[in-house]
Amino acid sequence: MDSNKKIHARSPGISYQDLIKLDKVSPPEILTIENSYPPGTSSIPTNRYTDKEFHNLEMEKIWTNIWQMACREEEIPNAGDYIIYEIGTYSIIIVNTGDEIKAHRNVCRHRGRQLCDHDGNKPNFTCPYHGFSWNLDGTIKRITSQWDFPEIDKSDFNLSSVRCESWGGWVFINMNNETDSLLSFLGELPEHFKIWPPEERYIQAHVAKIMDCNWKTCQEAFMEALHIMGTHPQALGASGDENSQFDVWGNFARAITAYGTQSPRLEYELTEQELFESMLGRAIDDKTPPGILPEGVSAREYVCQLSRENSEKIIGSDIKISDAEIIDTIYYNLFPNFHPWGGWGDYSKIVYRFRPLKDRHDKSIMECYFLSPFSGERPPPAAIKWLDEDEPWTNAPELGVLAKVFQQDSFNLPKVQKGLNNSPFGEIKLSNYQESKIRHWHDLYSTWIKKT
Amino acid sequence: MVQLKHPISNVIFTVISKGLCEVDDNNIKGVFDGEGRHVSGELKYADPEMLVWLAGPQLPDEEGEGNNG
Repeated sequence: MDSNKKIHARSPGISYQDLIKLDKVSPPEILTIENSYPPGTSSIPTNRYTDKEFHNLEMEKIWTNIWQMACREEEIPNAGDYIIYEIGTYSIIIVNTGDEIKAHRNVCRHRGRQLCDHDGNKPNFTCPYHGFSWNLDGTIKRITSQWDFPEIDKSDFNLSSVRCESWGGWVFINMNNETDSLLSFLGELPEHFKIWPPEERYIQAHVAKIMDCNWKTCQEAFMEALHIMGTHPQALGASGDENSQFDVWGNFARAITAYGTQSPRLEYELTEQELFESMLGRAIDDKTPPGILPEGVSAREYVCQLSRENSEKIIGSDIKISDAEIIDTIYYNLFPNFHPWGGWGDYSKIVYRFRPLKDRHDKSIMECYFLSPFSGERPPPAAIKWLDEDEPWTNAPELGVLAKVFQQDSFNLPKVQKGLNNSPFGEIKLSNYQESKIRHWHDLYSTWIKKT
Repeated sequence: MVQLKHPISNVIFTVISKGLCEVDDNNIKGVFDGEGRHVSGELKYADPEMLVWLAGPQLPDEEGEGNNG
């Protein structure tokens, strides 16, 4: 991994690296590395968000050629279990054959009906239309009235298979059979997650919501901390928003926003007790006695200690959990749309996925998984809960307070899209450092859509 | 009632009923809904995201309570 680089102007607040040097339980090496993205293009054309033409380009150049997360292995634990993954107009069956996980295009080779209408378990894939049937591994099982199809060569009438590889319990598919392996695409990402193995977690919650905006408009609201001041002002008392750290490697990027430190934007200094109360979300008219911070202990240290004790109840005390891993938000994104978070804290279980809604460039699906550690037997994965476009996130109370945070984001996003659709400027502007994850993403995007 | 102070502007937001907040900016007051619309009072504008947080949709176990996340 690369040496630390500081190539941008930074917030006057304490740097993330200096902050974690003060922590009582030191961070793992992976969090002490900096790998900033160099300054570069900061203007992004608005038509990437507004034009159907770009959606069509994405379908042709990106979605049909790139590794993308389709599901979790734990969602299809038994032979015959399958999940349908949809991207644009493409529908793909991810199935556990009993021997391996395979992926097939969800299309009958006879008259083209989709083979599966919803997730489930089947002994084979039989088309409801005329009864043609395929084995779970995609080989042909039965041709109805075979005598009447003299042109069909049974040895060459399998389902159209799709590449399918796993990392960390996540199943990825790629519709292009000629590309490199998933591991090659991931680069150093698995190395970063070695200390937080995703395969040892389970889906505690999974919520998907239809969003009234382009999928990139939505995704980019979750790739920086610059929006905390405008969108989540209630969090400024205890969040190191402006002094977050941003790094990039190959096809992925990372941001880290410290918690338990006040925003550099505040023009006054909170006492440690005030910071502690801010972390607890205490209302100013709360008449109950406040939790008292023990003397000589910082708010960050104390909340880390409490959170660590809580986590150890589940993962045990063999793993040395640093302050940074238990309290800070460590948010990765893998191009184009997969966002696993790192660490051991409450927010570390977040994983996002963003994608277009069917063939729409102006609607999208935002998904949030809670991928949680467990002790003992693996709990069954939570079923997906769908929220419609007009439903508030608070209809998914399994997300806890995050549902309210998403509600604040969702208050903006359709209006961002409306503004982009109506923009006379033709471009948006991104900052050098705090929006460098998004700049990096768009540079990758430019490369992909120009590919022949 | 739940009362929060905007950390930067120091404006005070108080939930007065489900979906409504009274906002006090240096003793100039107004009432707003959970999407930032002015309902009454001399104060005509308030931070809409604070209003979403406090007067917007709430979790089932904290209807009308709002918290600081």
